Amino acid sequence: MDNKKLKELNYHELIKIYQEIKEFIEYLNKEKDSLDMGDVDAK
Amino acid sequence: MWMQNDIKLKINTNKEILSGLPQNNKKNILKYQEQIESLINEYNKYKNDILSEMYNRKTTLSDIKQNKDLDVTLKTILSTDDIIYLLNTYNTSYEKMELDKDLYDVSRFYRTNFEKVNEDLVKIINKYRLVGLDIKYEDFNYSVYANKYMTVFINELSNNSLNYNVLKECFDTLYWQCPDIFTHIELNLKDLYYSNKKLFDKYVNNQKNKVFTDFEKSGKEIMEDYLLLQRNYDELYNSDTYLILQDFLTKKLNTKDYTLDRITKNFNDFISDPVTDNDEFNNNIKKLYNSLNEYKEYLHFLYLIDGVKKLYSEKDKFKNVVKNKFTIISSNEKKIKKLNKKIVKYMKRGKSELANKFSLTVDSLIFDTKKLYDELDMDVFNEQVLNKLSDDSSIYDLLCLVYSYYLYFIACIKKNDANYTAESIELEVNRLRKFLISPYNTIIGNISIVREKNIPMIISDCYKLLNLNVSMDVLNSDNIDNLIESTAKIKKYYNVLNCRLVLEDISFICDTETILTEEEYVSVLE
Repeated sequence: MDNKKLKELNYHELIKIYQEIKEFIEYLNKEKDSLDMGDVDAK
Repeated sequence: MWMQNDIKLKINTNKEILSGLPQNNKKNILKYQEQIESLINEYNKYKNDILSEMYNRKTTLSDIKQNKDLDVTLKTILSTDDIIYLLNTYNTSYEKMELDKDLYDVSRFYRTNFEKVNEDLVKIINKYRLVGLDIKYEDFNYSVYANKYMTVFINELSNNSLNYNVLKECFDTLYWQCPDIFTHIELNLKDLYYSNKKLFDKYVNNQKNKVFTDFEKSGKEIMEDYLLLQRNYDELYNSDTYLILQDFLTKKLNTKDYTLDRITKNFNDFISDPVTDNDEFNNNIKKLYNSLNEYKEYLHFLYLIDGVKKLYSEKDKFKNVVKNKFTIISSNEKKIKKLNKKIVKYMKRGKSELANKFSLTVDSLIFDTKKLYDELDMDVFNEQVLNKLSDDSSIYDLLCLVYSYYLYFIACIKKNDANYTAESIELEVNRLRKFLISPYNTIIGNISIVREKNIPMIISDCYKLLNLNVSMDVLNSDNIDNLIESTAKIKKYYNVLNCRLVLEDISFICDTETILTEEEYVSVLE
């Protein structure tokens, strides 16, 4: 991530971006957990 | 907001790419999984960059120290706190040395435990010795039982620590012969105080003069400085940015409550037009806050005010009561001591029947004397109402007088609150003390004890002149807490507004603190 751009963000923007990223990571982790590895072996 | 949009766009693109990936066989699912893991790594790096930025900003913003003057001022206040009792012009050495309280504790031995009563006795004897009264077992001549117990007690005391087994053994033997043994000791100690009052008065007087020399000031000047110091301390405390921030960080305060929108609701409790001069409005609200608190405390202590006013109205009854009672007490005590000598003599000669006969007379005399001493506690206060209060005295003077006489004060507390406890009494005593040493009282010092004043009207009229609406109708015990809360909030709003951090900074620090804690973030610099 561009640190220069990060420094230019105000507090609200910084916290909002953090929240967007946090939510996406949570989404990715859910996706990963939902993968049926038993099914993978069967296939 | 460009960066937020960039991130959103990037996230959406990644989501789309993911959704387009086939998961129809093992190979594709594994590929899909690899892609997810790669994205998790990538976004965790972004998140860390943001957390690092948050951490840096929070650290810079919250690098605020508490004002050093606060500790210095507090130390000076506390050192004056310790000597302020000496400046009291209403009471005597007996109350100043808290012998009234200590002896009251001994008189209630049945409510405490054996160790506590003996600790109280140690405290009292140490005070007697402090003034130069070298207490010996011979001084306990109120009864043979008091003498026997105190002989063992003083012997134990000379060993610098009390052996409770030895004392308990002695007590157990004597108790069945004389269940009132601690009452005898209590009265004996009172007698010793009054017989040696000059020593106690001299000691207290010397202590007071030492204070005047140390402070290089008169009592009046010390009190004036003390009140000023409290004001300065409050000012420093309330405006201290570090402490304000701590209130928000510990969630005692919430930033959402201190926005102009929210606080306007509180403004509307007192004004109808928008604020034009913030400083003036803030100052007036501070004054109103103090007046409301003073009135609240006045209402709380009305039971004391009304009680003393009634005593004052019949003050002439109290002339010579103490003097006359002391004459009877002295006469009783002379008889008691004389009879005790006889008892000892008869016991030595083995004439136990005669000794027992005289013992019963002594018991009866002590019983009467105890009653007289108990009455005397109230009579002494009543006499002070006669001697210290006049038509020119204020409610403040009246309350100072009550505070100066612990026994009268707690008798009032008990009468006013049937569910009193030792803790509630202590709280009430401390509450009155705090009220009397408040530097913000402007009403009670100006209201005479003989003239009724409409305090709600005085407050309402005063603040009307300062353009604050405080209707007389709302100034009652049901509403006063809400009004105080509202003024306190406005005061706090201005403190926050005038501190070194803007509200947005405080919000950011609080939000970031929560985020960093949740993320268990540890800076690489630490």
